[in-house]
Amino acid sequence: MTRAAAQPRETSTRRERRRRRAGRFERRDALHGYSLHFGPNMTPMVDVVMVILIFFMASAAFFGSEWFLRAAIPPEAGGRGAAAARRDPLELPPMRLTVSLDVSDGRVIATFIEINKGGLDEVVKRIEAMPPGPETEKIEVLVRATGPVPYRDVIRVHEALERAGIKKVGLGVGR
Amino acid sequence: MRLRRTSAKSHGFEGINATPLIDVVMCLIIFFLLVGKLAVDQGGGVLLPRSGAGKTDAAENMLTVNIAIAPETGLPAGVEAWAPGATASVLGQLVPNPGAMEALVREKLLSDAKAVVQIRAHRDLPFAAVEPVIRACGRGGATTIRLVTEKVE
Repeated sequence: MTRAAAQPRETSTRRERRRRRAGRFERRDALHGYSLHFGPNMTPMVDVVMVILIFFMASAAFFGSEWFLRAAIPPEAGGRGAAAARRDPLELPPMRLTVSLDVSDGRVIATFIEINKGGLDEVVKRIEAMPPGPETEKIEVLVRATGPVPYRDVIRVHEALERAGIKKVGLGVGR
Repeated sequence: MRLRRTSAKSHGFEGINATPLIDVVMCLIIFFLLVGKLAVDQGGGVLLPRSGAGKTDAAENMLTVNIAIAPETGLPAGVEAWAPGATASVLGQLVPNPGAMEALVREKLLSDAKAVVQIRAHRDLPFAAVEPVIRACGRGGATTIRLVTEKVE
């Protein structure tokens, strides 16, 4: 007599119940748990991606932020100038000053109020020494530079005027 | 003793699901790459002059003109040397002559009267290279310009 014949015939319900019972007790060690996860190992990719991200964020922070200096274009260069902005015809025109920049013997020389062809540092100091207040704010200053003057020196004068609280600064350009 | 029942769903701690993290990180990287590319396009490789004073208020509509040192190989065909020793470009395209610059400014101001022209000029250039651009802006109808500088604290 065969073994299968000795045992009573197993019904499908009983087989199902046995299979379920066997599934209740599973291996739960770490290796078995890991082996259940299939697919690529993402850890190195995440590491690399995080490094790239930090690099981009750091380099974005490294490149300094920008700001700007506002400059009016005088009428001789095509701009309307500050005069057109005045609405009251009886209003007195504001004080207008000129900073002239030129190059002599490879050195930038500047003229402003009582400084005649002085050094750039001297003029910058003179501008920064202007007393702050509403009267200073009303002054209009035209920065007039010749061609060979470095652009950064024009900006330096403009920055000094900005620091002094002068709001209306124009850039003189030839026709 | 009755054995504790377990099901297929309760395997315990199976590690962190990294998929959302990767999604977010990849989005951030793509964002930074695009912003970096745009910033370089806008910057045009210009080293700005430094200044310790300035303003940062944003303008909605801007026309940014980059004035860079002209390449030693010379200017491409059709581009005049109208800014001596320098090239003027808008959105990475060289502006061939003052007339074109003027037309660009005029067109911008016609489309939006509140548009702002900002000039990003290289710090080592002479004023002679910047002056014709400012003049063209004035002829194009701009009354004020912004001179972009590098912020120094």
